[in-house]
Amino acid sequence: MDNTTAIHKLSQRHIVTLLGVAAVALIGAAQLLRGPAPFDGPIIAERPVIFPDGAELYVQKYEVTVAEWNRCHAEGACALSLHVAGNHTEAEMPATGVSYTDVSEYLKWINRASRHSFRVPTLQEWEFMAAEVLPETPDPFFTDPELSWASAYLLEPQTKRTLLPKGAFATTKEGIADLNGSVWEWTADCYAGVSETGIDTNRCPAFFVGGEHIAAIPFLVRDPARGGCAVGAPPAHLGMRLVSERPWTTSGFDAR
Amino acid sequence: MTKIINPGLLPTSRRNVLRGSVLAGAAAMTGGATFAATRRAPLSKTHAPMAYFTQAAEQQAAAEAAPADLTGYTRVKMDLVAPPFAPVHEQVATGGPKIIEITLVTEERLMVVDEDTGAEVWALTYNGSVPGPLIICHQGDMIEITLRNPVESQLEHNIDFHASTGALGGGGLTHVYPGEETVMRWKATKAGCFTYHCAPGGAMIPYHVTHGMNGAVMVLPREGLKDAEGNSLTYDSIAYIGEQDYYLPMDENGDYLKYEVAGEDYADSLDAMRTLTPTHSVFNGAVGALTGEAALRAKVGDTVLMIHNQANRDSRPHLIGGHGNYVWETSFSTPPLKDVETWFVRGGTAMAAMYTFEQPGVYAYVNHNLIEAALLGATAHFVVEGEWDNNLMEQVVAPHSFET
Repeated sequence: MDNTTAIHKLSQRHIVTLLGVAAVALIGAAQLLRGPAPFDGPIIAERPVIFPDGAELYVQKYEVTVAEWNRCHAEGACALSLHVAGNHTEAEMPATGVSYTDVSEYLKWINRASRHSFRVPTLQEWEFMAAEVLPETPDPFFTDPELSWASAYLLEPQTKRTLLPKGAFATTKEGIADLNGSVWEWTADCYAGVSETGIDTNRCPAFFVGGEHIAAIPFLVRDPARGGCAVGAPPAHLGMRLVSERPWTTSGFDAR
Repeated sequence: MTKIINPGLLPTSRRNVLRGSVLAGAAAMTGGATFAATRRAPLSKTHAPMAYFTQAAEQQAAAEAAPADLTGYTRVKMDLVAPPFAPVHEQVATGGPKIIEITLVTEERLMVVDEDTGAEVWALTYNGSVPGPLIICHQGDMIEITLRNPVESQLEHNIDFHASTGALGGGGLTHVYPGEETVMRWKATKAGCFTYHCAPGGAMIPYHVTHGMNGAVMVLPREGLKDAEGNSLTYDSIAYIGEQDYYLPMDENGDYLKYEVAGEDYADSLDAMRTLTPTHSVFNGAVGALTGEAALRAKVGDTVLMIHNQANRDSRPHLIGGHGNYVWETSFSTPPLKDVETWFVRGGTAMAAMYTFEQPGVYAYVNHNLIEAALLGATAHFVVEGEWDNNLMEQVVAPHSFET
């Protein structure tokens, strides 16, 4: 990827954001006139995640499903259309093969359609909510400073990489399912490399994804291929999970 | 479906073929007539395209050839092991020539090719692995193979050893149906790494080969490996890597089709094979079979002989971060190439590359068509322990922001 493309894409993102804001305003006006149309939005886990500082986070119980994703596509807001293999239904399979760019499209759509503010979690939020179901981080095989480039290599057995229907993996005490599954979830955190000040998220070449091990994935990647010089086992599948600081109800209005 | 294939020979319906093997077994027990009686023509419609060649081979073998001279040979058994490992063997031969007895069982089994996509294949295997086990002998030894096809198999199998001489590499003498076994002996006259594969006839040949039915034989010179100057070269371990191109049928959505039994994918597979575009090219049967917890292991100072088998298609291995100190692309009779960056595996060969690790860390052993390495699966990893050598490489300035 060359930088020109990235910058071009990102300015497009800004334009889409502005259009999105305008659209929300219009739809909002229309809905006020007609009364709130029920929006069959995401299912949120039974209990919010409560952070040490007392902040609450309302987390989607399962990862966004293929059915939910394709609604965004059907309404013309998500370029990518997904299908499920085999005998599974769209409603039971997580949406996978999505890049950070795709995820951004979905977020814009769901926020417009639901009149709510959803986002993907930060890496810190993700790690906190997933801690109880994740295996212990194995000690690095290579500890010499000269071998820091290889220290993330995983010689431990990996969770099965097979894509399974939602709910096939562990559920946290808050009721959040599949955080330890075969889908790695995009976070909002930019992989800033060695930069101490961080990189502007709008120009971020790679984001962290949450899963059995944390990985950084270039924003254009939909399927992290295994192989080449890449060190270790990359994520099996890329998907997403919505979070919000505010509870969500299907009325489209805040519960508070 | 009785079919006379040659006047004067037995009608070769399946039942008669089976009866023939019972009779052969009985004859074997009587002793004297064994040599002639164990030979038969297990021909049927399924390998009709090969009938001409097979008959020729059979007739050649049935002619009044002098019995093999086995004087001076010692019989030994070789216990074969699953890849990427090598059977116990000597690098330099001690004692006289050997008759090495091995057994290969033609197992048809459902194998996952890529867990991520759910791609699977009814693999046709020797001893249950892709590639089949590595066989090692010395020049002048004989391999006496028992090839057994289990009763529960769907298909006929045989074996063609590129290291052997005559009868289509033994393919003409080793056709076995489910429930049959055969014994064949061949002499290793050429030193080198050679592929072996199933070759039942016609389109069944590439079908079996692209379903995993291939492996390698290493025929070492009796005095072991040498460089161009005649200096002895030894290794601490062998990494036996079989590269397998799969052509897996997909539905209109691009999802891999699933089948109930071996052979059910035959027609779909042929259509996929005809594209000459593999859906997967993997090491040791599946994506990631030699990475992560299954990565190859070594220590700094270890000399590893990497044996690469590709029975169907060219490949070009590269060890990322290392080299091929000595590379035998063809035979061990030709002096090895030295200090090679990327070596060539002619489709239909096995070959060997030797490297001594000088630096710890992770090395990727890839098919350096990097599309095949990263997207089709042709990647293995070596995890090497030891002390870092700053003389060979050092990070002088770590990545940092620069003033614009």
